[in-house]
Amino acid sequence: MQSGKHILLIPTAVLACIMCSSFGRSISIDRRGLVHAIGIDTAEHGYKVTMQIFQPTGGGADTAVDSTKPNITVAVSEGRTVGEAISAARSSTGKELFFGHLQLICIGRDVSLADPYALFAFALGDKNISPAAELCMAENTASELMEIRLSEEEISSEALSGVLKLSGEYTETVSCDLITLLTSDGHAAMPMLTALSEEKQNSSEQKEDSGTEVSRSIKLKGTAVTGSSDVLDRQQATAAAMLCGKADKACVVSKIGNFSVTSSLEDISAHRTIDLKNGRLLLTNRITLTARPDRQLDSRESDALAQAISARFRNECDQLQTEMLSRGEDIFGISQLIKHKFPELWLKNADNTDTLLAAVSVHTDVLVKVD
Amino acid sequence: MNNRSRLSSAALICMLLSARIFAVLTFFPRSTESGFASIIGILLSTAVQGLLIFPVVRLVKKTNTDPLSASHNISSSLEKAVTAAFLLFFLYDAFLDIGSMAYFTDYFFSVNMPRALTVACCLLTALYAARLDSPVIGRLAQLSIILTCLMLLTVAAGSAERIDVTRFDLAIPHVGKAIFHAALADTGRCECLVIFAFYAAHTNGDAAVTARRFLIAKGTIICTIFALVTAVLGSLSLNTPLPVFTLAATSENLITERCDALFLLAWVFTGLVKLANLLHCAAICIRRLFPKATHFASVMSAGILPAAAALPLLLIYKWESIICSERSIVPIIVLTFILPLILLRTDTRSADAPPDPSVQNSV
Repeated sequence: MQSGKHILLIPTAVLACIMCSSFGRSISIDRRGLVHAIGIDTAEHGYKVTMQIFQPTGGGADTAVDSTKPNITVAVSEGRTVGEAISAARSSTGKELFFGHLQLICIGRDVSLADPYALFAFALGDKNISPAAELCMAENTASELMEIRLSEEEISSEALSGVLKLSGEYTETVSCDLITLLTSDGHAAMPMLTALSEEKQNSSEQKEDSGTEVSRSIKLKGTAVTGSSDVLDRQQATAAAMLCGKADKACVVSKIGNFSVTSSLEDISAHRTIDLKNGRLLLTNRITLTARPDRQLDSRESDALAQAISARFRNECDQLQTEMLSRGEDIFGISQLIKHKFPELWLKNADNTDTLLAAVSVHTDVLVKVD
Repeated sequence: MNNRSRLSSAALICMLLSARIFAVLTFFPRSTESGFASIIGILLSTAVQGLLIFPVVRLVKKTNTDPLSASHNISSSLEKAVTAAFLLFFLYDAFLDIGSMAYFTDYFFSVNMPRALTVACCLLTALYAARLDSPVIGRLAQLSIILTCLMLLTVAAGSAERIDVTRFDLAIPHVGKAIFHAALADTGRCECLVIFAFYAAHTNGDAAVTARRFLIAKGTIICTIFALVTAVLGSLSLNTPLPVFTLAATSENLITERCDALFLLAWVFTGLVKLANLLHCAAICIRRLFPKATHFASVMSAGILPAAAALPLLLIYKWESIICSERSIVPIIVLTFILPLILLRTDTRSADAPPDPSVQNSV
């Protein structure tokens, strides 16, 4: 009798499983739209959202990606908030949108980032969106970047993501993700992309159809600073990436005597400290890097190269950081450093943090090891 | 009771840790103002909890019984009152646990499953485990803690390059108040202390040593989780509804890509172990109050009551107001400190008498 009661649990569990599958509101894969990238622009009554939705190849193909055709569809919708625009896109595409594969969020130049929590509420409220999704800014509108349909090798969002990743790795820009933006104190650096268009003559077969084809590609325009109209050039971006601790590799040309030496920089690391000296905050950046010159140098030339690279980055870092902090633009996380080291000082100046940042003296040491 | 059916000290520690870790994995208290202040608060509250459970440890050492049996030695009406108090606590905590599992499963997964079925699945699994002996539940708890530690290590390794120690700051207006609130919130979520009071007399090891080891392990794991979340997510951890889940979603590796699936595995496992544990304890209380109740009936009623209470709130989407409300520390203080202290102070004339065998066997 006792074991009979116990065994009741087994059919009950089986029944529960059946109920789970039959009463469930499961969605088949063909009704899902896998969103890989989102572009956000301002619209007349809120926001315009442009989404790249993965389009798998038809049946019979070897792989899910057909490299000979554009493999994305683009959905465009508008709403008072980004969340509302995304909801509108659901009904316009007729698909249940899935954001688990979202790799990139592209922001139009005119989108205000004054309140990033409000703008990205859709991402924070959606458990599928990774906070590590990469961010970039469009030189003009995000929609023109999202509408580029690459048809070679990989899907568009992966290509965009690859451009950003490698540019960040080689310090041509400062990479940015959702966490970096949301934890920043009002300012963050992020890559700025632009869509290039060039008309070229089509092959004879295609001429019959359209005459010309617009071949579009993407180019890194610079590094945008949120909450500012400034765009950092490549040199500034390298210095910013080093100061932010995001630099990995770089390339630099130095003049040693009468000849130029191209060095690849590796193992870049940054350490910073902040102290209070004579009532003034003194920020010290210590950057260490290894330079590998493209030619054999003797010890004297190696020292000269190390000094040249050190002097160059010391000047660039000091200049950039002093300029930006004087404007209250803290992309380096100095506010957080002050909060960590001098919480009382920060609280005392909580209403006037720009002045506090502007008063920070900057000193940079660059230690170069020539390999 | 022979030694074989007794809980090992390590198993009890894991059972208690499962209960506490489930709470911290689910969500952080709303009162969290600063990650660093929370860590200090947790360390303080852990020290205070050492004092809180001191009477239980003394009681176990002196009488070699749990509070229920100790009260039985004084009077049968006191025993009923004490048992009812423990039962109510376990049922309420099971109610919160079942509701949280259904509510947050709905949140974590791309759920296309009605909440009622989530409740049914969790309940059936927990009921199955709750019917087993406590050493078996203890072994499940050990497994859940190993899984949780592996998950935390994987998440930490995957987000190592995002760790920034400058995110530990105390730049908040009222530091003392924030630390006090954090300590209160931590103690309010330490239902495991009541489970310790219930089980302390039924382990192989010394209760004082078990308590000390548990508090050290609890303090270390909870502080590590808070530290990891703060160092990686910074201020975002205070603004995201489920910080540990967000951390797991951020953490990346080449094999599993994101770590949220690992997180879900550890979360579900610790949640089920906690629920099974609570239902097991509640069933023991029911059998003490109603000696004629069978093992099966007591476990079933211990599970069905809280599930039936949670279901309407889940179905009308009112659960958030319950789960996000501040929890009172009064029941925990009463059951782990005041009650054992009273029992300790009272002249337990038959303290040396052997404990009630029927109850000991059921534990």
